[in-house]
Amino acid sequence: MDSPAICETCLGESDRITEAENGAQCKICTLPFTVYHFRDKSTDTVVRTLICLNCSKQRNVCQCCLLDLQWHIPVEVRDRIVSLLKGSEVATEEARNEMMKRFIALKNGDQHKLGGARITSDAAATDSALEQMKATLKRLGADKSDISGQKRGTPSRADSEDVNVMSVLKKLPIEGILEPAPSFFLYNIDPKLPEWAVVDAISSIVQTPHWRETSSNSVVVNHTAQCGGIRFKTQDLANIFFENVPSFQTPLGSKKGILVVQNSRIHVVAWPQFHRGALGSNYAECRKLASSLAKLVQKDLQRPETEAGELKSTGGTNTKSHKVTKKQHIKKDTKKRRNKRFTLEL
Amino acid sequence: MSQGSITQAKDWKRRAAPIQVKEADLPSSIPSQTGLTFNVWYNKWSQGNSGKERFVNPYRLEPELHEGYTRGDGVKQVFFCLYFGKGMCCLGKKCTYLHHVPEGEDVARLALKSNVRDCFGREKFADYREDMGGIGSFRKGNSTLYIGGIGGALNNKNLKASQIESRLHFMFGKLGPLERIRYVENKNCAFVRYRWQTSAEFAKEVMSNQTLLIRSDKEWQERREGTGLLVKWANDDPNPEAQQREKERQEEQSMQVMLQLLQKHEQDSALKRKLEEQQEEEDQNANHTGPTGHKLLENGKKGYTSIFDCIPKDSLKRLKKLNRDNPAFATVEKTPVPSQSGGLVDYSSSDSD
Repeated sequence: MDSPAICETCLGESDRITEAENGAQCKICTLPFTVYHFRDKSTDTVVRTLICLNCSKQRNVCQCCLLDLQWHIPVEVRDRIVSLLKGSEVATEEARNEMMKRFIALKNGDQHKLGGARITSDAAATDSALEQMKATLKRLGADKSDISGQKRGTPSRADSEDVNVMSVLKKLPIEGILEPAPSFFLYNIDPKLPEWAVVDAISSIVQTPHWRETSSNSVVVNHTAQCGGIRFKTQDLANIFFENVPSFQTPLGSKKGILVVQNSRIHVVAWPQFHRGALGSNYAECRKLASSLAKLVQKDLQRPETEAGELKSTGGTNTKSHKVTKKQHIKKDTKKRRNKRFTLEL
Repeated sequence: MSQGSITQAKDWKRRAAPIQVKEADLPSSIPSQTGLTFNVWYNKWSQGNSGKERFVNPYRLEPELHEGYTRGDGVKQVFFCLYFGKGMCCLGKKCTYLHHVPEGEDVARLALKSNVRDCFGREKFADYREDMGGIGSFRKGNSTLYIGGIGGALNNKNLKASQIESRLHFMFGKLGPLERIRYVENKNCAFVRYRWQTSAEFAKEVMSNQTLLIRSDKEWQERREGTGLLVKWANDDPNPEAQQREKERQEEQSMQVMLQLLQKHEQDSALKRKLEEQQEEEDQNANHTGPTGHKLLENGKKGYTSIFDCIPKDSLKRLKKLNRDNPAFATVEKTPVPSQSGGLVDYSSSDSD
């Protein structure tokens, strides 16, 4: 009789395993299999095997937790990593049809490995995979730093030109500046940016996660319109935020805040009349709003010389003159380079 | 990022979990009579109209009031209390499951624990249910929820799209860090995406069959006449932008996991090297005779010079061997059990005595 494939994390310190022949239906191939069960001493619960040994061998997973036996990660993630390493799509194909499930289960798991199991079930292949990982990480890391600078720049397509957003724009602080207020308007939010990242960035600025009100919505992020709003619980917290958020001067001379979250730069202005519904009500309106806000962003960033020179948070006055002279040399910079330099200085 | 969640965690760690509902106040577990005979196994009435299946949960989880530590925190439980999620745990701090909203640490512990159990410890299935309800699938990570039945949950009260979205945002936002939320007006449904799958699993149970009405609505008194929210798993977003986002997120995740794997591998190999050195030293010591016997004793007396010393040596050797030979390892002591036993009860058979 074969011994079950159970990883050490599941097994823990159990010294006794009970066997029950044909005790349950395998969750993958739906065939009956020999169930092993044991007591997890720490939580005093019974842990039992959920898939048959053959299915577990084919996929190189633990019979109890279904995580990869070698790497202890989900099959889905393992396959994605292996396809990254190999450069081609590697996936564990699963049958939808019951007959097909049983047919796959007929194949001997010792020879027939599915997807990424071919790598992780073989010690030598795993070692070389780890070596490959180092190289891949280096390569991907290099790619990442390349794209981070030029990520933004193309505003959303002008696909909904016929929609009039003047009424929406009227409610928003388009001409606003960064000044003390209980709530702020955020725009130039990357549609890829998750809401929690914005929340975390603000939490780290005000140094407490409890800046949001518990009785109402304090954060609004409209990804389609690429803008949002935040409201602080107290004026004190809002003041801390106002004082600590980095700011810059637009060519027209108004001061705006900059919130850097995951390589994207969110512009911040005061918005005393925080109103959730003001960010466009339907999809077309939101798209149009996004494109008009993108124009505003372009206007804000027209002349990088003044903007970078006036950076409040850097504060280094002795380096300032040096920077300005340097900038005159590279006036015809592309936008990509400009953004990159800006983030570096921040 | 993690710093934020840690400071947040302290809030509930300082107080014991309150009893959400007294046991005496709980409604009968037998549903109101809709058939002729009661089926004890399924907890349902049969023979007759099955009656209205949908209902509004009279209880609701209020994270600020109900969170707290329980016995589960003491025994390092990783799973959350399902009754707590539904707002009706009558055990309070005596509950052996966790009574708080899932946070970053919990997500990490759950990920190590199992891929096949959800945050309440229930087993997942290979495929999604036909209606995308239920516990979900272990094959696919999914942190997006589909929210339907919004009209019923509002007792057909007319609200603006932005108001509905705002209510959803408010209620779902309390249950974990949101990634994005989108209300589709012409379909009257919404999609809520969380940062972690654990949060989605938790929110799915918490928000199922809840009303979207709030106390200030004049319909609040009649809220139980409505039908409650339908919360299900969402399918993949067909929007190409969303797919691009998802692809990038997956790539990011793979890179992180690869980094972790490499780190772990390096730690392991360092441990192995250490072990080999130690073994060599021992061998040398053993080869010498006479005076080295004293040395050996001294070695033993030195106490734990490193953490590796306090691990039993034979177990490390075993681990090493297993790592080298075969990744599929387990130590089994077999106690044959008659096949009829079903294998659900853990009892010691006569053979093992």
